[in-house]
Amino acid sequence: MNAIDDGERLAQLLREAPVPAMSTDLNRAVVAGRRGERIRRYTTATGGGLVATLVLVGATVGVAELRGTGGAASVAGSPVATSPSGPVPEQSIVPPPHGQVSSGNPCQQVDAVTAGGRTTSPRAADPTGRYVVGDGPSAVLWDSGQPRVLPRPPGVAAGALESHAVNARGEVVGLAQAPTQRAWAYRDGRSTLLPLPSGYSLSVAGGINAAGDIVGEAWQGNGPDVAVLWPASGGVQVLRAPGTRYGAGAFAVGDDGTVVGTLNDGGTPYVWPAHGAGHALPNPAGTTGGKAFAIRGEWAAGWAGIPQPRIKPTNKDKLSQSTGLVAARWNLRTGEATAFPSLIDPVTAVNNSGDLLVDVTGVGGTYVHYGQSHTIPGGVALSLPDTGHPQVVGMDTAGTRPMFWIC
Amino acid sequence: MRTEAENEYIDYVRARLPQLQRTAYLLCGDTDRAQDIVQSTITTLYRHWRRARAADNIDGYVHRMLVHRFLDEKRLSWSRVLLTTRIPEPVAPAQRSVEEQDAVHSALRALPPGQRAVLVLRFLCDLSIEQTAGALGCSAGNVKAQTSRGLAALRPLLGAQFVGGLDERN
Repeated sequence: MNAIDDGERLAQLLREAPVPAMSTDLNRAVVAGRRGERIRRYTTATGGGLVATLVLVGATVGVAELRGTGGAASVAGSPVATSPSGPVPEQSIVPPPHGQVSSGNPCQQVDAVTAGGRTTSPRAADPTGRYVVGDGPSAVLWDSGQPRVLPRPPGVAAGALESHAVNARGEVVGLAQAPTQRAWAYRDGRSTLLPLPSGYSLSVAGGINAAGDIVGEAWQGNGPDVAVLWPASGGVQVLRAPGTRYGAGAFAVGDDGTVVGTLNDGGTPYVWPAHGAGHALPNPAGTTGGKAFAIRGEWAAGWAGIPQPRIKPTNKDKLSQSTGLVAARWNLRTGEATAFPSLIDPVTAVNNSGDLLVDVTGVGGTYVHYGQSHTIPGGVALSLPDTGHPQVVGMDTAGTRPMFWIC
Repeated sequence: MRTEAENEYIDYVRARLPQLQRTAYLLCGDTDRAQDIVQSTITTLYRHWRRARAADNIDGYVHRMLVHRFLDEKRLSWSRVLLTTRIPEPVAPAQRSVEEQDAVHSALRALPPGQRAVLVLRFLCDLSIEQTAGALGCSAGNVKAQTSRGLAALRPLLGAQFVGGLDERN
């Protein structure tokens, strides 16, 4: 009896061994995958100090222009009635104990513009609200409501571009099939593939800051990902991270050059300061692991894992530990880490005040402002401007026009 | 993911789901865990579909993901948070323990996880020594050694079913 015979017999036994029925849900995988794709890619990152003032002005101008150019200038509801009446004291941005949030009024849509373009996949908005980007047959960039089809990098076919982020200068980054997967950027009126780090042949870009620094990932074959920074000044750098089986990923970059992302060890939220070595972000009390998807000013945000009881169907008396996702926020200056157990979806954007935007796939989203959550009733919420009025920028679910909500 | 790619993904997973479930169950020997492993594998696959479809051997790529999930789950019990945000729907318990129905499960469970993974990948998933080594992140020599040890360990555990089973069926 040799090993080959044994192997053949084992193969047959394995093929014939009885296996119980399982309720694997393909539809759930698609929904979760879509959410993950959006979470991973809907990251915008700018903010801080002087820029915040400019952002505020830009957003105001942007909306005014949209109302003027769109023709459909109806304002659903009264922004004044649903907006804070003045500056809120700094201490009030601290959420209630245990990260709980209370419910407030739904956000009101400001019907901004009927645009002539169309995209099949709303992707990202810049923090000022001036630029919104999506892709479909072509990558489309809306500038103050006016759509523009972006040029393709050389060698990239129609329909082979995805836009993942846009900054306040209208610079766009994403993923191109060229024909292998490559990070690309639209800058200075041109679209180009971004350079690869040595030893890697595939890449994707997911975040860009106001200065034009870009972050993403690169990989080779089935090897682990590496977090990558493409500085605005040119070139490419691999961001060092502890070795894990699947490597690391960078999702967003702040205006000061701080990069946030994850270690791919199941999820460890990670930060690479502009100067100095990277390190894991602290876990909010009672949580394990997580990922940081967004950064602005001193705030980073994403998700954290919390243990939750789960009944094992094969033994109803036995509780096993599963884990759920909750929104999480980190203050990069103070080290404060907060989980929001009442928000079971990850944060996709944060603004200079620490307000959060929580993605709720297919039904809009949740805007958390000063400890109060407001429902975004429709569309795809993409970005949080640093305005005095709580505002959310996004796009209708059909991908035909940018949208704004006042909360 | 674009519609065309999403349709490709759905077609692929539909066709391969029984094999993935079988592989996961034989790896871990537990219905709940196998379900979690497969669910998280196909969700991850959705997000990496572009990369997967470009792979030389897409089945090998997916099996690699599944085995990593299996091995990682043992190391990081919370790793499922990556993908599972909802409590899975309960499954009706089997009337009779599957383990009781077939000695193969019991024999596999007696093996170390790495050795079990080598045998399942090589003989159920039909991966080559090199592909198995790639999936498990070890050397081809290691796979050969684990295969030899695993088969040797299974012989006394499976007894006549292993030695004579195929002859009888043939």
